[in-house]
Amino acid sequence: MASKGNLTLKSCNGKEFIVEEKVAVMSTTIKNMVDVDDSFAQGVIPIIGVDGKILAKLIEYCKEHAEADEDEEVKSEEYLKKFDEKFVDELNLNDLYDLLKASNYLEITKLLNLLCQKVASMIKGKKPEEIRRIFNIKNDFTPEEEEEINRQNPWAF
Amino acid sequence: MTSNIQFQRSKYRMGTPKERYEELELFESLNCSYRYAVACKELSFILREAYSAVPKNLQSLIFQDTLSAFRLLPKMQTQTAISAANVLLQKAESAFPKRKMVLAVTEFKNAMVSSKRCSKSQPEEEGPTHFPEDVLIHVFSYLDLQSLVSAAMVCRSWSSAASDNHLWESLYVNFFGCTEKYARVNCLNTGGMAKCKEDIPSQSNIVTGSNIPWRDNFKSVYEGVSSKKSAPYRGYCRQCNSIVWLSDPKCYNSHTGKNCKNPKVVPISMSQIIDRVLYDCPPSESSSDSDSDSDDMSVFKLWAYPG
Repeated sequence: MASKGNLTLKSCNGKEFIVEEKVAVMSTTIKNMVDVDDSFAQGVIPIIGVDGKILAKLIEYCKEHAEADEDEEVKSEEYLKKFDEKFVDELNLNDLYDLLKASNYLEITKLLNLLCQKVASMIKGKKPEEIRRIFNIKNDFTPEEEEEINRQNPWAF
Repeated sequence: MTSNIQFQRSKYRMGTPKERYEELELFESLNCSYRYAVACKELSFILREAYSAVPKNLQSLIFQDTLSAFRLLPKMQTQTAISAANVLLQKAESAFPKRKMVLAVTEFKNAMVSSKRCSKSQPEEEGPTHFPEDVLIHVFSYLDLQSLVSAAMVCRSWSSAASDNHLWESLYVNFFGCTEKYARVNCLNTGGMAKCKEDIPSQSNIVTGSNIPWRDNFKSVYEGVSSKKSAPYRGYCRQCNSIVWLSDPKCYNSHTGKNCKNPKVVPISMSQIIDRVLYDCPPSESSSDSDSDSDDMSVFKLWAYPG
């Protein structure tokens, strides 16, 4: 049981994290749960579909940003920017996918924006073939569709 | 804030060619994988058109940037980057004096060798599956035109996300502003271009927007533009008198948002960039603060209407 002002979050593989409420409510989804039903605030909040490793990452991010929102002196905009950069740089592709899905589901808007920008920067300036290689995506167009696409799209280049 | 703009302005007005070149931030752009190729192109163009005419201190800076471009090549891992670097090498060979030329060629050769090495050793990562469509659309909202079209060609789910109407609506507004006929409907009540720019991406109060096929509109107007000239990458922000990237809608909004109360960015060509670096010519004729809207759009209309 978490002490007052703290929430317990439980990952899908059973890991529990005790976090301050201000950190947890960076997630709009969690905020809504806590606001609507007080019992969540006392008990354990299950975070469905998010494993311990990803949840730890999410908490790390939210902690920095929640603290910065509270005290701009200690954690300046400059500091946060550096933190954000390092945060996304250290992610491998799988973590990036999982974090994106989790931050989308938990509605952590700031993080979602950050991750989407990161993915966008990996796409920018590349050809379809190169994008497929980076994200390991299978080309599922039929040959006919592909021909049609190639015929349609040269206008942009 | 205002005094800051004033200060920047006077600084650029009085600046040397070297300072105006630095303002292009070519080195920073080379470091950024998706701008590498375009930055190389600009550098090539500057080498060909301006290198011999610029002062010594700028010449050595351009030389350093050229070497950096080659040094960064192995990190890029795209065909576009390699061909851009090839073009840069050609221009470098004819622009630089012999000693510098030899250094540049050596750098390029080393880069090509390690570039090949990198591409071989790159491990295949185990494939995660799919982004949800709403996440994909969010990601795509940070893309420029060419990258969005490329993304649409990747696979079915990406193609469907990339045809999202709102994405194309935002692109349309970014490229052509709000004065064009399709957009006018939506802007009648919002009064003025700056307001529209803020309102359109949020879509909430636009009712008519959802029925308009923005992708097709964009395509038809854009085709007219690009048949005359190749697509512009850079824009000139008249409010803060500096050159900005057009290709990054969000980043470009934040730039103009920060420094300009009323963003007035016009697309500019490479030769206009050169004119600016060499002679400090503002890319459009008049530069007073109190320009009327129609005046501001005049350069733009050359691009928007193929005549």
